[in-house]
Amino acid sequence: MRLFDTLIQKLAGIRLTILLCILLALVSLIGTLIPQNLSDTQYADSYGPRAARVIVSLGFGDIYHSIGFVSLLSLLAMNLLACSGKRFPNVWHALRRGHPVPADRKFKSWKNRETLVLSAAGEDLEDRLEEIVSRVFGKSPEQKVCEEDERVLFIERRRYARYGPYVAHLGILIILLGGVTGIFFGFKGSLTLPEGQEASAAWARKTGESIPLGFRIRCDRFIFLQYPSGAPKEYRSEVSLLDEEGTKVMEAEIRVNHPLTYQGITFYQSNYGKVFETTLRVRDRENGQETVVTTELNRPFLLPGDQGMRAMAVAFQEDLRIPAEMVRRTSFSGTSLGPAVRLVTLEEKGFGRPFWILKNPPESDPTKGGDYHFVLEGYRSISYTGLQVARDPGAPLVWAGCILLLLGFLMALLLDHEIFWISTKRQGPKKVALTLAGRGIRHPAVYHSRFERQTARLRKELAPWVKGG
Amino acid sequence: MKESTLIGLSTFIYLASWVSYLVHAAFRRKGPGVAGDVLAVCGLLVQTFAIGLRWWESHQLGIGHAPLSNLYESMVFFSWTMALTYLLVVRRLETRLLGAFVMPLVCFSLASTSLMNQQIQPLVPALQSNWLTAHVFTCFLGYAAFAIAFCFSLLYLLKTRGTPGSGGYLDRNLPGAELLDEFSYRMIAVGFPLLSLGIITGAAWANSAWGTYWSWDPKETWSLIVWLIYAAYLHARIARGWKGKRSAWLSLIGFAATLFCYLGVNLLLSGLHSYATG
Ligand code: HEM
Repeated sequence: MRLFDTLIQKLAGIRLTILLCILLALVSLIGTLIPQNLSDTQYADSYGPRAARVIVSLGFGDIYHSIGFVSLLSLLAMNLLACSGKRFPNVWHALRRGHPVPADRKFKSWKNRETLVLSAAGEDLEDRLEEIVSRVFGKSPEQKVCEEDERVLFIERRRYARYGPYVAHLGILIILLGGVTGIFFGFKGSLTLPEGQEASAAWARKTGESIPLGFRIRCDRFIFLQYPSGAPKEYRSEVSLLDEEGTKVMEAEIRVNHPLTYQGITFYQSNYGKVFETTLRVRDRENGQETVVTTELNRPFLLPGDQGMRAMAVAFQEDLRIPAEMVRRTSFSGTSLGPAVRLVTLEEKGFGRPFWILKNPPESDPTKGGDYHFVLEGYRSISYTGLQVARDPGAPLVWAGCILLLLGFLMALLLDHEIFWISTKRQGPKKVALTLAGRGIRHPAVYHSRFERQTARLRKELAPWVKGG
Repeated sequence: MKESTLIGLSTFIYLASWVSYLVHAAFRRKGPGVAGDVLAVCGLLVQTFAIGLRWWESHQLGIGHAPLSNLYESMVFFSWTMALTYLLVVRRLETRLLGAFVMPLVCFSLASTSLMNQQIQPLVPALQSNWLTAHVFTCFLGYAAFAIAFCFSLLYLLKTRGTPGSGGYLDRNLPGAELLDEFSYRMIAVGFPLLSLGIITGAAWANSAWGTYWSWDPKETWSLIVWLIYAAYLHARIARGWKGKRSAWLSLIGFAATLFCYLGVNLLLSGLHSYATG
């Protein structure tokens, strides 16, 4: 039980906070020195097999998701919760209780203290003092003592600043909560959309699973603009959103830094490129049956005849180049061969051997394509846009936490809870001693110059009563 | 007048300011110290004009953007914020020796820009964001505050190195050790929220450009490291009463990490921010 108690004590201690901050910094540092998320063989290549084994088994290859790092973060969250949970009630009660009038109404032990001797011949000083103080502090004072010959006024400013650390800490907890929410309830994926085509699902980045969107998105146009120097100026996808039945719901633009959000799913411009559509004329060598097909890459199409044979284009080059050393071994005269498509037939056992078909000259080699003769009649390039697709229900939490964090900082570090006492004591029929005393609770050293300014203003307002002045 | 000429000019003015402060320190005469202040103000004015001119020129070229988009522009801005912060702080000090420490930082960072690509470049799509401007602006204000805190901590350590009260030169001419310590802490208390705002605006930018607010790229991670070090500093100080030497050393470590976050990551590590080496 004792052990448990000390454990709780330590968990709620600020020493642990400091230790955790430094440990997290060190572990993060390791993550920036070792490239993250490479494959085991890549680590072996750059560090040698032994070191690579150490890196992989310690989780240094994906350090920010390793058990060690996540434990440190969780410990930090618990530390934060325990410590603030322990102290906050004290601060709350202390602030509710208010400030009793110090026994020594001359505030002898206070660092920021000033005494003025006033002549109170006219009785209006006592009446006007409150009004003057309100003007200087922008807030009416509280009367703590009101006796025949002694009065004590009290002003308290920015009491809320005392809650700063707790607001900042709450902000951090909410940010962490938002991060966890995003990991468990969100997804990150991507989508490749050729112009004119639509999709109703994205591909998850990590698992490669298909994630249904709940609606359809179509790329109407992709536009790439350049500066005169050739540097990229703008990538823009013009898209339409369609409901499940295919009715258009809206049109929108997606640019870098200008994502599109629809039904909680956000699309970000990520990359772009070209895909090709080729037109092929295919003839059955035996019976002369012919078809013309227009096809994209990696989409099987039917061959003529009724055997149901299929083929597929797997690559396309606008200008096929073959390595120089291969040129010598073939009958081709140059390395630049013009447009060419690489085809493969789909047989029962699997894929046949892939082969290139040139546009010029039309293929005449009878060994290519087996029973079929292929001619590349034409081709067309289609731009595609690459979009990142994400849903992150944790993001609003993260931003809310950030705002709390900043507010908390402002309150904890730059503002202060100040108290100010003003006591007047009648010392004779025409003489009043006035004592001013102030304190900045959390940043006493910073408070001094404020005290000087406040008392200077009070002195100026009180000038008509100052003795001999 | 060309912007790069003005930047060169302001480098020399800051250099003259530094020399004045050194003369002030060596001969204990007030005159050179005041000259140092005046020169620093002149340098800042010329540099401010140069930055404004660059901004205006970018609009003339039809690719207008705040000059905060590449390594050259950020370095010019970094030295500007340091000079400005120094001038704001020095008014509250009864010593000008701080200038002998801050001005070399301003001079060297500004002089290093002559080695960088100074062309005004159009912004590639990823950089076309107001978040980016806010991000760079707040980060560098924070860095400048840490730089000044670093100088205070250095002065503190120098002051307390020998036996305190030994009557040595620094002992007589520097403000009290407690004041140096306090100023260092105050600069960090200002720099820390600024850095936090910098990190948050950076995350907002990453979120609108790439769809993730945090991707553990080296620059992000290093800014977190810096943040954690100063968080440790603040907690040690506020809640455990660390003062003086230990806290001064943490401030030096924090600034070393800040410099690495700014320069080391760009030069030695690669990541999303590697555009900034341009
Ligand atoms: C990194 C995560 C953080 C952790 C784990 C953490 C933890 C703690 C703990 C355990 C305490 C002592 C208990 C208390 O007084 O509430 C504390 C105090 C404090 N923290 Fe944090 N904190 C973190 C971040 C921050 C940040 C970013 C700030 C920014 C201003 C901050 C400001 C403060 C202040 C001012 C105190 C002193 C409270 C007092 O003395 O009453 N903390 N923190």
